[in-house]
Amino acid sequence: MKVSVVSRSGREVVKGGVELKDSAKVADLQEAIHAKTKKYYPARQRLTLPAQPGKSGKPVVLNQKASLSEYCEKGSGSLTVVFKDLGPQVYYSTLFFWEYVGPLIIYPIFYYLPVYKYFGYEGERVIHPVQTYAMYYFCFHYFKRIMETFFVHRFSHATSPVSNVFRNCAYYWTFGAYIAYYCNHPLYTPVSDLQMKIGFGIGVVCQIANFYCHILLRNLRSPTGSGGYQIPRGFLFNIVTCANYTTEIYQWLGFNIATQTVAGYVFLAVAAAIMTNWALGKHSRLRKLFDGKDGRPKYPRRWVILPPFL
Amino acid sequence: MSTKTSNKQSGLATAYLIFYNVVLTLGWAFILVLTIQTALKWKTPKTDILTAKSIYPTVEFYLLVFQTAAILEVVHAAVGLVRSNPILTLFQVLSRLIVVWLVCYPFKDAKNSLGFSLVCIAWPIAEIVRYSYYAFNLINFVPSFITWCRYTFFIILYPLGVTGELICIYRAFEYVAPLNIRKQYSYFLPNKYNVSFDAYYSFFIVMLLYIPIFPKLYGHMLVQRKKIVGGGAKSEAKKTQ
Repeated sequence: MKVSVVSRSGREVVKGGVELKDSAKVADLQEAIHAKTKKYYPARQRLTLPAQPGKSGKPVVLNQKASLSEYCEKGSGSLTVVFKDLGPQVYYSTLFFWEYVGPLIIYPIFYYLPVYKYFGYEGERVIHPVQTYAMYYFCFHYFKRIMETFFVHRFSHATSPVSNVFRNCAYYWTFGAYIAYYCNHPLYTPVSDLQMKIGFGIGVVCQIANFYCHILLRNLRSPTGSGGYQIPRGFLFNIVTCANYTTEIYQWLGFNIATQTVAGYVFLAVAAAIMTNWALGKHSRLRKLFDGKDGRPKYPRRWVILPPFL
Repeated sequence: MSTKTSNKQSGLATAYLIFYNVVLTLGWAFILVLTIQTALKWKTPKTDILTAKSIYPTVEFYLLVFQTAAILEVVHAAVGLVRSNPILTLFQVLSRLIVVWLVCYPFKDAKNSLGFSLVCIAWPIAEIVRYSYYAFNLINFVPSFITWCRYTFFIILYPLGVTGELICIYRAFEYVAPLNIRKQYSYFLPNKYNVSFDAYYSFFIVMLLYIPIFPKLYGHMLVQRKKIVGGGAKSEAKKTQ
C-alpha cells in the first residue's frame, strides 16, 4: 500500500511517499518515515488523518499499535497521513530524574554548607532538631520519588518534549531552594515540639500511603505501559479518584505543619493547584469513558482530589 | 491576549467589552496627550528628558487608574468573557502593576528617571493600538491599518517599554540598597511564620525575570506577526501563485 506523508500545510514530508506491505502497522510506517528522513524518530512523530472538509473537531491520531489498513477508506489501496514534528524528546524517567535530583542536592547544601555567610549572616549557627528532621524528611521524599520513577511507575506515554525539562526543573529547583533557604536559616523560629511531631507524623503516614497508591496504579497497567484508562480501585482509590495526589498534598501539609514556613505553604498551594487541574481532567475523562452505557461499567461516585472539599 | 469571544456570547457581554476597550483606548490616548503636552513645555529639553520630572505628577492619576483597570482583563479571561489564558494575562498585567505601584509610585528616583519618559511614550501608543484593535474586533470590522499597527509597532515599542521599565526598577533597586533605607521597605527574620521580604533582592529578581520572559514574548509576537500580517514580499509572492 502506498502512504503519502504530508505536513499540515500540505507539503510532502517524505518525497514520493512510502510503500508498505498491506499488513503493515502504524509503527512500521513510523520506522519507514524515520529511515527516510533520518531526523524524525518515531517518538517525535505525531501522525493524524487529514481533516475532513466540513467536519470540525480534533483530528484522529493514529495509534502506533493499530494496523494501517484500519485507517484506509474501503477499497482504496492508498492513505494520506498528516505528519507533525513534536520536537526532540526525552524519556519521562529522564525528565523526572532531573526534576527531583535538583531539590535532593540543593536542600542539604543549605543545611550543611555555610551558605548564609554570603547572605550577610555571620557567626555560629545553632541547628534546631526540627531542621535536622526536616532535612532527612525532604531528602527522603525526593529519593522516594526518584526510586518510584525507575522501579514503580509505568508510563502510558514514553517521552516528553525536551523543552519541558527546562520548565519543570526551573519549577522544582527554585522551589526547593526557596524552601531550603527558610528552613535552614540561622534566624529560623521552630514550632512547639508537639506541633512538630504531629506534622511529621501526618507527613510520614501520607508518604507511605502515597507509595501504596503508586503500587496500585502500577498494577493497572501492563509492563509495556499499555492498558489505557481503567477505574482505579482499592485502598484510598475507593474514595478519591486521584488518591496519589491527595496523599502527596497532605504529605506536604504535614511537612509544613512541622516546619512552618510561608515558602513551604506557597509551594503547597501552587502544587495543589497544578495537581487539582490534572485531577479534574482525569476525573472527567474517567466519568465520560465509564458512563454505564452499552455494557461499560459506570464510574462510581468519588471525590476528585481533596476530600472533604473537592 | 485575544478578544475572540466565545460562541455563546451575549449581546450584553459584547456591549460591555466594547465599552471597556473604548474607555481604555481613550484613557491611554489622554495619557499620551498629557505626556506630549508636558514635553512640549520643557524649557531645557536635555535635562528634562533625562529626569522626566514634570511628566510624573501630570500623568500619575490617569496612569494609575487606567493601568490598574487592566486587572479587569484577568477577570474577563477568568470568567470566560474572552478566550485567553487568565494566568498568562495575570502575569502580563502584574509586571506593569509592579512598575506602576511598587516602583514608580513610592520611589522618586524611579519616577524622575529617563525610564519613566520611555514608559510614558511606549505604553500609551501600544495600548491605544491594542485596545482599539480589540474594540474593532468586537464589531467585526478591523481596518487593516489597525491590524498592521497592532502587529508592527511592538517591534520598536516593546523593547523601548522594557528598557524604560528596567531603568525605573534599577533606580528603585539602587535607592533601597543601603540597609537603613532597605529596612523601611522590608520585613526580616526572625518571626513566627519564617517569612521575610527584602525589597533589594526582590527588585533584583524582578529584573532577572525579564531575561527569560522578554525574548519569549517578543518571539511569540514575531510569530503572530508572520501569521497575520505576513512576511511582506514573500506573502505577496504566495498570493500570485
